[in-house]
Amino acid sequence: MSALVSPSDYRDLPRLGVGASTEAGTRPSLDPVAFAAEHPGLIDFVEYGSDVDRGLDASIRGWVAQGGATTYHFLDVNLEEESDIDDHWLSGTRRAAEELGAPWICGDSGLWHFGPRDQGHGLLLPPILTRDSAEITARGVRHIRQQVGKWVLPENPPSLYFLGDLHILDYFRLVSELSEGPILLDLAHLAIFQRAIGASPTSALERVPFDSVVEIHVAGGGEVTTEDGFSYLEDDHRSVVHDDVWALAEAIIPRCPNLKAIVFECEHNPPDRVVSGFERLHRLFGAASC
Amino acid sequence: MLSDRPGRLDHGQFRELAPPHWTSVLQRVTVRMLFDPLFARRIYGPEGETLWSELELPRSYLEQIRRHDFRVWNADRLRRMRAMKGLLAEFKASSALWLAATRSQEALLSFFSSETFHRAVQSRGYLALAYGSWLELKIQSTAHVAAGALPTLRLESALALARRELREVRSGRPARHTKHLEPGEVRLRPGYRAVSVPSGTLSCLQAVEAWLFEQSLLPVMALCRDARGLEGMPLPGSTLEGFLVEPTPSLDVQLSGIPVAYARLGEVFHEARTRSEFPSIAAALNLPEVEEMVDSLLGARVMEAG
Ligand SMILES: [Fe+2]
Repeated sequence: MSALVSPSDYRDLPRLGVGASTEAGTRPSLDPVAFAAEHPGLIDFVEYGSDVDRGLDASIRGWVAQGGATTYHFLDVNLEEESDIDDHWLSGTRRAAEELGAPWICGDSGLWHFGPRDQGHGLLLPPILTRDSAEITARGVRHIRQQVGKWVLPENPPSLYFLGDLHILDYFRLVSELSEGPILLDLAHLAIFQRAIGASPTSALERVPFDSVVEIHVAGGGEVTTEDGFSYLEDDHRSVVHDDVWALAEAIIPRCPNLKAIVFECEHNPPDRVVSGFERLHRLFGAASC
Repeated sequence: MLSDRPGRLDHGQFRELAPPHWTSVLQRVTVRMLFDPLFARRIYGPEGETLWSELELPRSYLEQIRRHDFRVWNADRLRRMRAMKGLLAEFKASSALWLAATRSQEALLSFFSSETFHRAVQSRGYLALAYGSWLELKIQSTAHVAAGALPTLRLESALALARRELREVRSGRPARHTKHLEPGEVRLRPGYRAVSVPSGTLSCLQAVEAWLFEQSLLPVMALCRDARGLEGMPLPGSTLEGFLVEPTPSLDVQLSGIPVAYARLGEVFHEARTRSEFPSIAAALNLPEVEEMVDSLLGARVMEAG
């Protein structure tokens, strides 16, 4: 594959506003064309999640055809494993991002699958929170950026366990510094991390690399208890956003000078249940100076 | 300690060429813990120290793992079922015929506690191929399994292997079967597999698939005493039938019938062979026209030559 020119300064990326997430071929899923027609002005763009095997679905093609803005969220590459970033994935991802007209691509850091990219191997694993791992991830991000020709925003993933000696925000600050690129901060995943380490949701605000945050995710979730009594915060994208996540949103969104996009990840909910969440995010983003 | 003997299906052709970074080694240990609560228990127990020293990982990570509530590893109770669903998609018929004899969900899910599973994860193997190898041993060691189970597994395994060969070639990853051929060497091209099985195997596979389709229409029927079972599926005959697995334009693979002689010959050419070996191959297979048959397969681009 021929290397493409690196994109220009990420601070100059377009401000997309507040968007909705959708996932390739997944039902039930929010249909952006119908949703935007019913609630004008509520979604400014769509973040489309897919993998090279599934590509683009009819719903997102319809949105793009009517001039809708998009970003591309990959669900199938291991940023923490350099050998996983192969030519087939790079060309497929570049094609998808170009067809969508996405100004950048994004996706959770760590592993989307263990071993080869294949049936039965899917499992989202957080990166090992060390400098070693951050270096590998930063190299992967740079390589993809060069080959796809768009900014690549690594996202902090959810997990019930984390290994390594860094706080997840320090890890992503390091990835941002080493890759000289922006990041995506998922506030629901951050709330889950804070819970996992036994800290209050907003106790790590001073660690947020505010200047590097170009996109923020807000998603619904809630308390779940397993049969054997283990309780945790589930990131199931339900319509109701947990108070911990709203507390993070209120504290972080106004402080990110380069924030261009907020996604409300609510793709599996009936549209009328998510309207208030979008409205609150519009108010927050509108009031922010970025 | 896990031996590095590859699974029977994966003859090492997909093995990692470079040693994995330590972060990948650690990630694979967590995968094994997430899928196998018994293994997670061993990591938390006294045996954990020994397991850890074999992995050559910093000792501090064992302590970090153990600081987590043990229940973290099994919080997602459906993880094994979801992964098994993906595996069964390619081994439907042979798995069904084996399960008809064991009738045990635990027996099926014990794949995730098997050495085959652990070895595949720790060495970046394909889970589907590991499952196929494990199932073969299970079928062989279980009483009263239908005679069609093993030949059906051979057909399903050939398809599964061909898919992985294509996947590897597509990703540009160098594997043994994509290595440069020396002059005079001949082999089947990646994505092509030949297989000879007892006659009636394909009918058996199709009959089991049809039965599974009927089950999927009304899954609650599995609870009914008078529901039709897998008895009466076609039995393999005493002669052979031959098949060729080949790539489709949509990057999947398909099975077509070929003369048995070609299938038996093709089976020998999954590995590269030199022309000087042809006389001994001809004698072993009792096929005098090996040279001509290989040339015709080369002409049809089923085989490639160095
Ligand atoms: Fe997210």
